[in-house]
Amino acid sequence: MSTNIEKQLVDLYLANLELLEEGLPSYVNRMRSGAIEAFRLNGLPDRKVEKYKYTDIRTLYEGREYEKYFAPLPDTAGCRGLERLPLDAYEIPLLNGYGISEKPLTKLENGIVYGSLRAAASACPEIVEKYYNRLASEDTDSLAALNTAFMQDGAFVYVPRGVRADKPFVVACCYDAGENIYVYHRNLFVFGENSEAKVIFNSHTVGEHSFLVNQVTESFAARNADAEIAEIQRENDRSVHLSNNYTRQEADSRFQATVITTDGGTVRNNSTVIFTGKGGENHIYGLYLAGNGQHIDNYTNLEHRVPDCTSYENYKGIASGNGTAAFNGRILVAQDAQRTRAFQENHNLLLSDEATIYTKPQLEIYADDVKCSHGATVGQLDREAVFYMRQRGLSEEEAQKLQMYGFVNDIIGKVNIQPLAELMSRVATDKIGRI
Amino acid sequence: MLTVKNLHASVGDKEILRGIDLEVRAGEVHAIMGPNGSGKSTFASVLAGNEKYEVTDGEVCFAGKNLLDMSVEDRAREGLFIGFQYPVEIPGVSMANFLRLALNEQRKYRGEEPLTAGEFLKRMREKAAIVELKEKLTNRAVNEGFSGGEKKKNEIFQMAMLEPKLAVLDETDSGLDIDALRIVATGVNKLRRPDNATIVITHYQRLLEYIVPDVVHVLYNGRIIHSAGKELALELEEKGYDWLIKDYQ
Repeated sequence: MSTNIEKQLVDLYLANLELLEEGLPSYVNRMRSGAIEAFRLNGLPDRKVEKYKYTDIRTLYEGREYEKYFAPLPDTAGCRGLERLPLDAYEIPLLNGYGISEKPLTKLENGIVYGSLRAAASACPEIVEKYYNRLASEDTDSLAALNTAFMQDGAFVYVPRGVRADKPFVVACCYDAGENIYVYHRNLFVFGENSEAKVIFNSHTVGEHSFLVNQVTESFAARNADAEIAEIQRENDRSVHLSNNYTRQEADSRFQATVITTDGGTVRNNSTVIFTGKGGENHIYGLYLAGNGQHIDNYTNLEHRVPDCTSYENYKGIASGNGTAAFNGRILVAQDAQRTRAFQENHNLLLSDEATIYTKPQLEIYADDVKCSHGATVGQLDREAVFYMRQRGLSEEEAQKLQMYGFVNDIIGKVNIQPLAELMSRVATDKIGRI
Repeated sequence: MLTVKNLHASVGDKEILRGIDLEVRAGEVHAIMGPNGSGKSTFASVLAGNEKYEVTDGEVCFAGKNLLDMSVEDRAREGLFIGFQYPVEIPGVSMANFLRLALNEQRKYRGEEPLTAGEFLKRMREKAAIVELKEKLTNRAVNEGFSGGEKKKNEIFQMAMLEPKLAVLDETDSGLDIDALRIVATGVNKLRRPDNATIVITHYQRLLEYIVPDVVHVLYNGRIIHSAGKELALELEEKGYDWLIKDYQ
């Protein structure tokens, strides 16, 4: 179904293939041709594709003139607007998806390796080759295929068996360029048996140029690993952020992902979690605050393929002005996945007549001994609560904001990285003040 | 402190308050009693500024100002506190956060500096003790998961924190067991000062065994039909309202 826009992207790929492949090992480059072929076959999804019914990816690409942007930046001096989080962490600074740390890859004494994926692909092929593109290639998602075809760099974290990372890893994702650009940003996280680690993403733009960010993250949690990823998304409102997160959980592993989206013109987050061993536990949380002109869509896909796993899911959001927010939560319980426990919640506040909320729980249960629940609500601010707060002296506006904050607060409370939860709280409060 | 003259209020085209006259002076405690549907809670709601009710006639002067001209929050900031019959739950908003914002808004209105975190916490601890409110409740979300008794204690706790000039307690005693009733009443008594006043709206005489009023009013059909000293409450308990309201039916 190759049409004009697909052809342009394939041509762009072919014209720059040499540049894309430069400096990367053949086991990474080998993946490209299959990926671009899959993309050519499936094309960019529009709203006729069920999974994308709330976000038309095609129109996001059409009519946009993006300069190509492939060569890794030679300059490692850093980025003028890179925001550093106020916490003690192992930092992985990325500019437009490229590692810009003076030291591209760091190996700690305890065996932890972190830094740029590009550097890791050459320095640690024994790890990267084993995991790279194992999950993304299983999916038919065209955006993930594009990412594999155009991939050059991103973040890499490896925590070996039995090691507990004493500090979180911060992937500082800064988008800053002199023109409108495409960004392909690829991450790989490997958490070994009995390991423990936390990773933070802090995505933001500098300046007013538009970025079309295509981000793929593959995470592997081995037996009994305990990993947490927390992400703050606040790009400018002219930008588009499309992400695909794939997580594989082996037996008895625990994995938590929390994403909070306050800014960004169009944001679409796909998250797939696959349980491959018994006793896995997944927590997936999201918070989205869609103001005027924004479109924020979260799609989650929890695949309970084996018995005795548990998933907890809670997404909450607010839409105001003419903003749109969407949530589609698929939970698959395979026939063999007995004693699955899967709990899903999605709650929304709709603040204006022009704002839109879509919510779609999608439970596919083929096993007969399971405990699954889902709940979805769309509501408005509680006028009685606003009156109550005004009677204590708060202005109407403050009372409304406090209620909105109270509504979203429990999602932030799930984050187990204390200074980050405080930052998220400030980011959310700031956005609620502007919404 | 509070002067109400010929107050009329309606919901839609139904008139509920039909000319209330009331004078409350600093240092006084007034009780308003009356059968169901007489307009007691409506009176509290109208004083609070609830937009559900339309004031069609009359005036209310509070601390020298026209109360009816003020927004809900300005009435509160002027020192009017309503203890609600059904306190609202506000999920996700901690008591401490809520009260700190409320208190500092009121202080700002009066031109006072906001309390520091330390001052605020000290005040919370002191005031929570007055109503024997468990400290862990002040860390929880406002009224969320509170029992009926805890919600009412929490209203008195908020009153203690905000130190209003005039507190109107709307059926604060309903749904309380005897221990909670005693605690709530003791709290109210401890907060009595020569420069503040309290209006207790109640169904039952038993609250007035603990909070001794200076004046007891009987509200019926949107009007105060009888006012007397504290002994009136006992008389009502014994004889009911029929002997008073028969002339007004």
